[in-house]
Amino acid sequence: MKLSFKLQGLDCGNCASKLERKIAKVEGVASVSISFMTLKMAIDIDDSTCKHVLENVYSVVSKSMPSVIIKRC
Amino acid sequence: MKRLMQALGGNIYVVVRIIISTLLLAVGMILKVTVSVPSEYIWLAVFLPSYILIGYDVVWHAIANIARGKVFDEYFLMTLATVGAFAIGEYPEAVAVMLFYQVGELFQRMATDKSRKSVSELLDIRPDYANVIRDGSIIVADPFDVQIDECIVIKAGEKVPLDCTVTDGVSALDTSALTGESLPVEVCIGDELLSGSVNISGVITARVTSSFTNSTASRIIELVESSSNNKSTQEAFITKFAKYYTPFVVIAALLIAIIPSLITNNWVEWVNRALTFLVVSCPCALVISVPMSFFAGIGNASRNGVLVKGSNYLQAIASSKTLVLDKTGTITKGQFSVSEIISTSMSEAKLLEIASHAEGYSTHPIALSLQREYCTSGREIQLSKVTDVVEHAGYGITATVYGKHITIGNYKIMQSGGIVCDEIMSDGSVCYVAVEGVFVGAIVIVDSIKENSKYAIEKARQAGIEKVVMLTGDKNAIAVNVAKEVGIELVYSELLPTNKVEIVEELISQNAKGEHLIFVGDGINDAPVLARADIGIAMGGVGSDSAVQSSDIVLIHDDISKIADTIKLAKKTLLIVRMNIVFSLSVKFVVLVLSAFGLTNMWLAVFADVGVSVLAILNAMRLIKYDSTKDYKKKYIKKLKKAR
Repeated sequence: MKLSFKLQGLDCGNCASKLERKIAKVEGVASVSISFMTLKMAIDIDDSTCKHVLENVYSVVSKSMPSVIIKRC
Repeated sequence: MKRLMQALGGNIYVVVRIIISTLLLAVGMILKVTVSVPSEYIWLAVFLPSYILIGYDVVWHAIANIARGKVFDEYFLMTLATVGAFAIGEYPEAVAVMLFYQVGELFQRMATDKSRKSVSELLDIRPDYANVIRDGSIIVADPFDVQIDECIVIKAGEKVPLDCTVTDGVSALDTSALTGESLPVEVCIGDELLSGSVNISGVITARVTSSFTNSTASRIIELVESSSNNKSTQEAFITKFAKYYTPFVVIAALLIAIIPSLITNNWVEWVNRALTFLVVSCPCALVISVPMSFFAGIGNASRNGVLVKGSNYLQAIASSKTLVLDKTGTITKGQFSVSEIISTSMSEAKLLEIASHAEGYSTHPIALSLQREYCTSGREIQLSKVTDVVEHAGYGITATVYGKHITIGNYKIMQSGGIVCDEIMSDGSVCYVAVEGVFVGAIVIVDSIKENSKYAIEKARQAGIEKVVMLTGDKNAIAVNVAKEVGIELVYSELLPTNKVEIVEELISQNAKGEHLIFVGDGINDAPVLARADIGIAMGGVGSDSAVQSSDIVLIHDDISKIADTIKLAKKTLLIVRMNIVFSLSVKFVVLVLSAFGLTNMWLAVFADVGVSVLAILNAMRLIKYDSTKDYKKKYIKKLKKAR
């Protein structure tokens, strides 16, 4: 399942790519891509465990980048 | 002043801090030179307020991040470097470095915001509202809530909110935001409007043909925004590079801090060098500017009616050497028209009248072209005069027109009807006409070449294409003629769709590594070929799902001269990307080496960090305004002048 999120307050390019690497490591995430230009994250998640995986993704974001607000779009 | 405030936007608070802190620093430095004090701690008290004012958020972030177990981010490094400077008694330098860092960060943020804004302005084609007619009155509605088949009103100056068909009114539309075409397009009843174009003169009423999410404007924005998911090798390189680069610099800094210090016992000097080392270590200049360049390039292309589905395709098209074009609908209009009327016994107009009437009921492309040709002079086909129509599939038609028996069709129908005539050799399709069994003439019908096909191919060669190939299912004689006309040397004709894939594969194998092949087709019949080519370019706009799905680049309008523009834009993008990579890396490398030998200071280190980022971002932003047609226009004008 492909989902897309808006990452508000993501203010450094290096942080964006660090975050991307961290999320890619979350189990159940097939692929992830963060665009620093559009502040958007496109993420592809295995269907069956979607909700659980998403929670993990959220917690990775809030842990490593507390100033970033993540929103579905 | 107003513009300055706008540019500063939400950064005004930081600017005030920077100004006050600079003043405090200046006062402190003057005092330090002119006044002597009994204790060094007094100077600490003088410079500390200035430092706290400018650096409190950085220090706070650093502490908060350490608490979360995150060490070695920018904040930590700046805090360490400046606190270190305080520790060795370099108070003014500590404040100044923090100040310099904040100014750099401010510039970087402003540049990033500016470029984001510029790119989103390029994409500012999505309408905010629609005037819908509901229960007899006009309501302003969110385009999202407008249903298919509802009627909308578009006034002068408004954007077309959804794809629709005109039901009433005449106007001119500015489609430049979609196609890059600056000439307005005249529209009248029955014409299709694409959302995102702007109505510039009259009021139009139109029936909606797509939902908002499926409308052209939404699709374009969606495509461009998701384009950054397909990364170029440069972007992948930067990501990979950043992954190894930062830990490498950190380890190197540790070694510099510890090993020489153990030997020389001069800890202050070597720790200072190590800190400088660390400040340079952020790969931000690259991480921001490289994707930004590609994004700006893609945004620029979309503004010109070319949708690039990923940075990787922009990168690939820059090194394309072979251009393969489908004939029908790509080089030619895909629409038949009468090219020649050969009459033996009656006027050409009369022959056309008879032929178009006999074919009056048919919907075959050739019949349609005859009808169109007849109607262009304002006449209408009198179907009531046409009787006894019999279609002979693959041959032609027999009918009675104005009481006379007409036979019309190819040479075979003449032969089978025993009508005596010579076979006419031509590059088009020949339509023989006989009245009461006697041959009276023939009409030649061709698929006419687009006006700018020759120009487009010439332009593509100038942009670096070395081999241009035409593929077609059409007869060889016709194909060779078209190819000659537009300046193509290599033609493959009478092909089946599967043959096209084979030929494209063979052509790809002839290319050296790193050279790419572009295939251009209409996106409907050519899906497998589009998918097989290195770069598949589909024409016919974003409205067609198959075109968008099977291709890598979509031309919103059928203008193949945009291919050359895109190649040039891609080359420019890659040039800027390479410039940024080389520039950032070499500055960083030089500063790293210098600081290892103690030949530099914190100032230079901060410049190598944020200063380089700002410069790289500004460089990337040049792509937003880049005009890919400019050089060619210049050359063309020169050529014209010479010819005169």
